[in-house]
Amino acid sequence: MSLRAEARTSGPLVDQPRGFDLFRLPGVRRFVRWKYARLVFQLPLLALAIFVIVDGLTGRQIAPRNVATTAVWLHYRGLLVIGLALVGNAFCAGCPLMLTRGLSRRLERLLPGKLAWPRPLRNKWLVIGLLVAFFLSYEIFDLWASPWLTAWLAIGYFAAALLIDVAFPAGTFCRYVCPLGNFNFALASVSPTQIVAVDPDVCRACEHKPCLHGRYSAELPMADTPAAFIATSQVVNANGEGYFPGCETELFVPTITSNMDCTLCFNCVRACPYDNVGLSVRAPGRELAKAPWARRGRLAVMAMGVLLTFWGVMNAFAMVPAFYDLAEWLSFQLGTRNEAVLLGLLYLGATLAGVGVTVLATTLADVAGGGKPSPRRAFERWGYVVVALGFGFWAAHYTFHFLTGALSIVPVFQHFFEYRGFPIDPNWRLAQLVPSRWLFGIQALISAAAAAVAIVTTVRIALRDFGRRGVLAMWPLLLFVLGFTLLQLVILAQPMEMRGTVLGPTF
Amino acid sequence: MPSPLRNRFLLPLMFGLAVLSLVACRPPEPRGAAGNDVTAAEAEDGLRIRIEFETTSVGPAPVTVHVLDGSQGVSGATVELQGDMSHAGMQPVIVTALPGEPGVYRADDFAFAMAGDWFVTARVKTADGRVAKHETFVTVSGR
Repeated sequence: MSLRAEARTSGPLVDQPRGFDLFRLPGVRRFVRWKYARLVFQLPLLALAIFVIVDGLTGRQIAPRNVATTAVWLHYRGLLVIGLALVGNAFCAGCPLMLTRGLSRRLERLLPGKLAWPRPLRNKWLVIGLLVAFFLSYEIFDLWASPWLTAWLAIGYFAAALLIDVAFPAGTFCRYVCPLGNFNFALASVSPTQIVAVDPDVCRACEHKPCLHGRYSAELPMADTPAAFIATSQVVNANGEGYFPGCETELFVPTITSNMDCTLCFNCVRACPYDNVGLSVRAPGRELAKAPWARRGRLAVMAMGVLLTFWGVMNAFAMVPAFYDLAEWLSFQLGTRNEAVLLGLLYLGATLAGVGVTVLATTLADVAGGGKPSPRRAFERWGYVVVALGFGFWAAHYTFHFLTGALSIVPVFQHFFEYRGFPIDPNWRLAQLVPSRWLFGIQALISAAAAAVAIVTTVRIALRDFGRRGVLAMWPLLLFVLGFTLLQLVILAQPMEMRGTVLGPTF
Repeated sequence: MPSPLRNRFLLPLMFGLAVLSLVACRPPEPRGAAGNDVTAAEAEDGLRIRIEFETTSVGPAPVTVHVLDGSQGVSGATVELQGDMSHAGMQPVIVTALPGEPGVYRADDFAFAMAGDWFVTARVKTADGRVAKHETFVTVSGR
């Protein structure tokens, strides 16, 4: 933002979308302002998590017949990307891990006080490490085939959220630790909605910034409140009394330019005493051409977004015959059948190749635009293009699995009860949501849509940063988009094999 | 009035006990994979079931199911075969095996849709109302 813009005394603080505010739909604003609105989203997912843990630990250890493996690896992932594409970060909005808050507050009393999250970890590098550990564990331990391990993964998530929430300030887990949440944050950059200030001038005049710090409201003034006291009578469209927490990931509504770190918890909506927070519809990927991560994490955030793209390629590539041929070849060359070693090397290779090609293309783009060759600056400038492509790959892959087995949740739950003695006969014929012949077409459509977002992002960045020379600067990235999309379609068109067959069966 | 100590530790203790009790209930693992075209047999409700695969490659894979009562083949039974992959969410292959010789049922239209790990379930219901089920595990080759 220029100094001139900062000196303005009215109008928006930053460039936020001005689309239709979804909270204007009948009843939505009132519901979201309700103190317990998030609980409505969280309780169904908590119930599902309980089923996952119980069936994973005590049910039949056969993946397609167990709630743990089916709900987590099929439905959760599929609905996650569909939610991100159609609405936004819906799964963080309903995250049941945050329901450990009651227990964490009790445990907090055992500690002298909250610890500060270490400064070297206040970025996304730890998350990147946890993400790669997660993806490797998924392959090495065949998590997708093990209800038992899937249940333990869920328990581990709850335990980690609880422990970090006890020891460190609220929001630390979401922002700096949670691999799933950060996966959602990165891909939500393509989502068609964003939290915005309805009237930025109201935010300019706001003294306490409750959307960020929280507020305490009651009829009569009180001392020693956990946040700024604002009398209920002064709250526009008052939504109850008590403490309304602000943004735990430290986002200030009128300055939000990205969905990065936004859990869609709507704390800001409830905490705002002026009812001045909206959920604006925007063009998918709008933020990608506006360099929003330059103000929030820079290199580490971009690295996470770009790496997720290439790990998405690996995650899909690991299901096609070419991957098994490659693994066999590598196994022969190295004289080992140690899956951890082979998968680690394959992931390392994909990571280096992906980052290498990205840095090459982005640096070439800068040079073509007349800029000085600075790989890091180029990576931070153009990396958003790769993030858009990554969304397409993850969405196409997970949508495929979801569509092939969405209805299986019915017999899987029937089996849950049948296994425990209820007289139910599961209808195993329920599985596919659409005919098989449609699947590649749907995947190709998703790939093309993501490529279109990536192309628009490329053109906008080129023209924004290089003016007329942007016409030259955009070409290396446009060729990158073309190459990546072709690779994506080739991988998605391969006959799929299920993991675990090259180096031994999964059972 | 409960002591503060009890208040402090009751919830974590209950949580820990709940987790431990769940862990203690770990169910049995599925049996190991059968050799590709070899099948296992088991007794259930007085019946023995044997599953034989003609091939364990991707594509059509006719299956023969033997239903025995002692050493006698059982005629007039309903035999349904279901093939599932080890991965959740794939459309299962469900076919009915048709009777041939006494105790022999054949499903010519059974097919492995994809390479990978499969388990095949044969559900048998005899004319006199007895039911039995047998599962076997196979690794299907794509190449």
